[in-house]
Amino acid sequence: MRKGYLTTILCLFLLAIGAMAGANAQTLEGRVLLLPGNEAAVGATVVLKGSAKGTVADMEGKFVLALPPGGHVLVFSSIGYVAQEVPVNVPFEGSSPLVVRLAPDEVQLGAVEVLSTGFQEIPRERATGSFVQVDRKMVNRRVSSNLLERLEDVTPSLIFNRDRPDQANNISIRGTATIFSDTRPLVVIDNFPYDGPLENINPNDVESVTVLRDAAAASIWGARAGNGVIVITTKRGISSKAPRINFVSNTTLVEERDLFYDQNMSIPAFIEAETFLFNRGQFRSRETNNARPILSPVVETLIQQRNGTISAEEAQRRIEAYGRGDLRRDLAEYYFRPEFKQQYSLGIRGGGEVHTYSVSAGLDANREGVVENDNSRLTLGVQNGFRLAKDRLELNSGIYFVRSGRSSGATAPSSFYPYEMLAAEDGTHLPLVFGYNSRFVATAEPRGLLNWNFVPLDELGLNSFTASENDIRVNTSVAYKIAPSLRAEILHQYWANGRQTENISARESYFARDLVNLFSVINPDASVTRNIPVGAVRDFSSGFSSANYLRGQVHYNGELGPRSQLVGLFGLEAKDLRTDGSLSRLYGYDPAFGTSLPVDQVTRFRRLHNNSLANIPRPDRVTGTVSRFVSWYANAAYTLDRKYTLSASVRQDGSNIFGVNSNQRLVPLWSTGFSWTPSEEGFYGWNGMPFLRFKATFGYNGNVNSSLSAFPTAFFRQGSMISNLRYLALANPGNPDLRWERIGILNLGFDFESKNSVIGGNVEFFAKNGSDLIGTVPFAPSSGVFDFTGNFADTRTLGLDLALNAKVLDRKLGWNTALMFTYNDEKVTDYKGSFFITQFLDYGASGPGIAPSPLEGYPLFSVFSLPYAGLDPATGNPVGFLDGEPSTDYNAIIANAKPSDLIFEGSGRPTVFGALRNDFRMGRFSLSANISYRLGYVFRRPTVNYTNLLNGFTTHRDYERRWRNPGDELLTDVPSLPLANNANRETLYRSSPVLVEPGDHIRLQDIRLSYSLGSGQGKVFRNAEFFLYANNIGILWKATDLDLDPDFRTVRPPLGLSLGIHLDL
Amino acid sequence: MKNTISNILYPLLLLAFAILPGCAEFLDVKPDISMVVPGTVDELEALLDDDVLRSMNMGPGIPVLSSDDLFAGEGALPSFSNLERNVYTWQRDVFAGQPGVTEWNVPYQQVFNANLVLERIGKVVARTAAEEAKKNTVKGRALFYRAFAFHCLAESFAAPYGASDPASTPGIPLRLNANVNDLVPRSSLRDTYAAIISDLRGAAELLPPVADFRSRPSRAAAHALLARVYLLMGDYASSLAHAEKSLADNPALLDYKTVDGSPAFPFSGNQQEVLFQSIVTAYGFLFSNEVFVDGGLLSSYAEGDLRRELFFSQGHGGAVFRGNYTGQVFLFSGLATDEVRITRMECLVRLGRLQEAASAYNEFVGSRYAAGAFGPVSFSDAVSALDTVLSERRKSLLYRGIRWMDLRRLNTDPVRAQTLRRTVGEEVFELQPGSLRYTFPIPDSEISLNGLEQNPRD
Repeated sequence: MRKGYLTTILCLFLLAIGAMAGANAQTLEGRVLLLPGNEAAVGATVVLKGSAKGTVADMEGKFVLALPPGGHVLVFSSIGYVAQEVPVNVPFEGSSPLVVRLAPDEVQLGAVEVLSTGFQEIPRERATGSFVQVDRKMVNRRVSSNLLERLEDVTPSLIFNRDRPDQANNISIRGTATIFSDTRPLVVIDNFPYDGPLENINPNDVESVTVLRDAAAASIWGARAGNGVIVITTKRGISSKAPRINFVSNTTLVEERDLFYDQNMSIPAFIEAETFLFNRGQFRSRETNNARPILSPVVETLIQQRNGTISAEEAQRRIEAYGRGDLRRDLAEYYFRPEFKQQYSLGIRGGGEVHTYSVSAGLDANREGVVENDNSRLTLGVQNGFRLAKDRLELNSGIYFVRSGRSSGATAPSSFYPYEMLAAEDGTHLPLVFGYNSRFVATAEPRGLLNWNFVPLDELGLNSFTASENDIRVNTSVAYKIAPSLRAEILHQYWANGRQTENISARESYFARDLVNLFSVINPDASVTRNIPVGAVRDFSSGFSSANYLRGQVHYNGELGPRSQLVGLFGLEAKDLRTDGSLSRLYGYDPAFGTSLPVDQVTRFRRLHNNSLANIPRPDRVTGTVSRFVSWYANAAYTLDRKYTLSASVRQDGSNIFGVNSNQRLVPLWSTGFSWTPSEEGFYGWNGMPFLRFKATFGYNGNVNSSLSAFPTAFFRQGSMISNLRYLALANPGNPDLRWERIGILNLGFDFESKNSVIGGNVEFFAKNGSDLIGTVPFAPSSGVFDFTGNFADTRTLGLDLALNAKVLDRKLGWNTALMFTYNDEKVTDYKGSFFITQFLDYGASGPGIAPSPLEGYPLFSVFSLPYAGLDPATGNPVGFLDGEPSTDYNAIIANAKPSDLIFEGSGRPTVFGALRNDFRMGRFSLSANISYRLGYVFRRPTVNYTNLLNGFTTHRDYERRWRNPGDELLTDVPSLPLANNANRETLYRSSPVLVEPGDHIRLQDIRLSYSLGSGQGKVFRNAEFFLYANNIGILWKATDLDLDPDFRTVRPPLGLSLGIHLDL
Repeated sequence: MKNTISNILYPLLLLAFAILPGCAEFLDVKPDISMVVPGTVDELEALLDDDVLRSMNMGPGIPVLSSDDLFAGEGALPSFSNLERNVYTWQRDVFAGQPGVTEWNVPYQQVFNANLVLERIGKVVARTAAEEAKKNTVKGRALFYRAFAFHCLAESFAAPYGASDPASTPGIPLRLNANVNDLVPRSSLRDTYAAIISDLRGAAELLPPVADFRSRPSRAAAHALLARVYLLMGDYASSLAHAEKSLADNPALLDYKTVDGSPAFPFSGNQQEVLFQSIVTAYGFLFSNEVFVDGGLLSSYAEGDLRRELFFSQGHGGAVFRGNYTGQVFLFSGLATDEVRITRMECLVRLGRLQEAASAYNEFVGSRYAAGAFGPVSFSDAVSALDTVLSERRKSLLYRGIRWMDLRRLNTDPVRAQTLRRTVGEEVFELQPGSLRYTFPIPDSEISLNGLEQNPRD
């Protein structure tokens, strides 16, 4: 829609300029069409070669250009099409108007001429900032219902961070310039930030994606641009004679989860270890513990044997049977299945001079990888554009509706002993040890309680979870051309998202039985009082979010003189986002009649398993949040002679972040930039490189942390522990000195393109300086807080981005290569506070979800080790250093280690990454293969965890390689089995350099093979493409010898195969 | 054209600068409905009721595990955490490798909330007499919480009061404001006790005689704590005075004959003797069935003493304590009238008022015995009377951390000093009277971030 505006305005503006330019100028009229279908090349640019003079084709592809009489060369170009140079004589002498047909450019994938910042569209040659454009073809290359996933490995400098498997869609653009604030890039859809889940966007509706990487590109987004901005533009109506119909359908099969990817010890080894530990008395305290902790079936068997309730032969027989079991086989049989995804999308676009439209509908139906889990998404979109009052008035509206749903009737058991069984050989469903030990569970029914067994296969279908969501987005804009170069517009977006989840645990379900039993009281007369009535438990949550965005802006786009051009923008923006939610639970629920029963949530009952006092859980609550922003912004770009462009932008944001004084709430952010195109200079004589452009920008982006406040803030909570009172939980002790984070970004780069576009691309160097970053530093606990969050950190990121496109062959066989390369060097330059040694060691070692602790002079995501002297030859104990001497005094080693003792092993996130894509074309066949690489980082390999083992749980198979006898230290680096649990011994080994592995690897990410019917006379379709797509194909090379995917260390990425069709009618 | 620009741009710019400051109201809406900057009396009261996130009703657990109230069976030790093992065996380096520890952190959280309330309650303008009264009550509660926290800290992390010159012995950092940026050094032991007493006196003036909920302090609780603090200081006259004031406000005495021993935990956390409910953090050893009550203590309960049945259950090879005044597995670290009565008895004995002491003793102990099992006694000799009262103190107030305080104070008396011993496997650990290990080290995080002087350990 915005392109439409721009086109018209530019046309009229240039016309006007042309008229003013001189009486002797003649007008040249013509039309630009796109091959193969000859539709209008809307927005194609027509430029007089070697000058700033030019125009843009209108909705019908028509253009008018005023030229002095004589011979000229005009350059015609359009997004995704090969530019053409056409010599013309003025006055034009042809019999019919000049018609230029542009052929699609199969190679030119990133090079798009108009860039969208979400506020305005900038012709690339006038943009000083760092933009990456991913066009429709690239967006559609990958098959996924998640748009973000489709950007991976086709967008330079964008990476999915895999070091935190707990965070889905954790992406960063040019590294992470913040520490504890939001690290997500801002996502903008059709000019407005999108607050809903990205899953609600149908990738098939996307026309293009622009990633804003530096200050000049992104600072127009102000305080939310610090992590980069992803601008998504959806498809618009077009002027065409006949409606254009586009149909997409694809089917994807993803292989079943590989449960044997885990690296746990073998089952016989585990049983042997359990038996050994049992005989050593290791489990006695768990056995007699009043909280009834679970013990494995083997240990329970050994207990029975010891107590004489079963014979030694019977015990032996049972244990042997366990040795033959493997729960993974049962899980694969009963729970896991290949994912099966179907996607359909239909779009119709068309229109005339006054009205254009685009209508689309999409349906995704996915069968998930666990039985009884499915999700679906329906998207509908209608977009209309009107041009009225002789094109002075433009109205645009878009309505987008999404309905998505997910249902789940089963959850695969995730905690179990490895040899347990889900079903006996005769098919009887078997219980798993769960919640409490089996001796305690067995007493339930005789005491009049409900059966307390957890039988996973009986649970299938008993827990029904359904979630549904309706999402609507309504965009309206009115633009009026006040003067040829001046346009005012008002844009509004209303977004609403309503969602609800219902979770019914049937009365027979473990969840419901467990609650009933826990709150049952066994009376002295052996009767049972059930404080929670027998019945289903229903949790229902609903939420509603709505946002209003209002923006008023004035665009200026005009020539200040014959050689100079000014494009400017000034605007005001306000946002109001509200989210309300509520949660309620019903006990004793009967889904057949919708009835439920009351429970006493005031009295504290004694829970049956450990006699602790507790209220019957009452999750019921109401939530509400409001987020408000007010901003003003302005930018301007001045271009002289098409060679020099100077740009500047400024923005100030205010928000309702709680407790911050108004003057501190408004943060001004600015940027400036310059570009020079030497290839336009008269002296430029490099014929091999007809296009060369340098650019430099500097400016500030901001970042928001809405969890902080200048004043002490607290949240009301219901139900204190002792007296069940309403209480205020202090969230924040208050920080009067709080400031917003600022990220200064310097960007230097050049764009180039060789003759005939054989090779083109850009190289950019950037430096990001994060200052006043929010950091959490430990505080002396006597202050009343253990840590304190404030503006404590500075970071610096240096990096290089490179994108190259090369036409290797362009004959019968076409071969194009695209290379993306990003280098990031992140460093914490200042951190006002220190952490404890274990906090530096936890990241990457202590399981997922551990945020790093910054250490000055090192990358934020650093993997550190403690000095380590290997294993003690006499005991197999890990040996560390205390005061420079080898020691096994683990408490003292950990207590006395200082940050300066830490060994820096490397970054936990790739410092070099990118992709190499090769596209081949032969007749109607195309083949595209993407190879991605991640280099320059390390990870800690998983290893034995003796704390788990000593508590009776399985652990890593390194256990089988552990030190057993003197001399083993020459063969293994796995410490001996300790006599008692010693957390600091574990920490020392877990943090030792022997466990650090290089993460570097190269992966064949995907291959896409397509067959295009092409266009031609008599064909029903304008174009029809069939494709096969394979994703997650495999690792080509990795630096580590481990049989482990460095980026997917717990779950192997499954191979996905897709088959699809694209039809253009 | 230039005119057009200026005609439009200048008003817009003016508009921008005019609107944004005017947006204050638009931006003043709070971002979350449940969020507040605590300021009203009700909000400040709610800050003190937070026994969840800020643990306003939590006391220390390590003094219990260090004391001779209990010993760990062989089966229990492997499940002990590093900290539990170090505390149990009186290691020199208790918190090794563990930067923070609940016993230090939680009281200072309580102090912060109390200070925040004290700073802000002064700014509240009461509009009604009822509001003025509530304001005073909340202020009194805040003073009590601060004193209670300082007291818990002093009994764990500062040397016993009588062992050395209180004016030159380091006490604890006395943090009296809610500014987290302030670093506060350790005050002397004398100033520490003076601050506790002053807060409690202030609280006693403002608080109602009894509280509406047992998680909230009352005047009776303030006097009870004053009685305990003066006892620890050896000021028996003052201790006695406050014990009597506390008992005047709340003389409750639970007749154990009426207590049903069949539930797993016979005493409710809400029963009449509880003056101020406070719970010890959940240590793993509490759930063990093999952490037993000290054998000598167990055998000191006479035939007919109901405590024998109500306080203990049969564990896995020994007697396990269950007589918590919390009503559950968590230990009691609050204040109760039984302690006040026993403190009063001790003070009476120490002050030579043996007859009154005997009468108090008979009333109290009578309530602990089965009908007919206890015959009233009379005290003739101060030394044996003190023995009797102290033995009663041990038998009644076990597993509350009080034993640790008593060991610390009684060790200064050569007659009553005793050496503690523990056997773990082959190893024997000893704790000599007056050992520096009666004072826990201050956690590493506080030492490194606040530069405090560490407690010497031998």
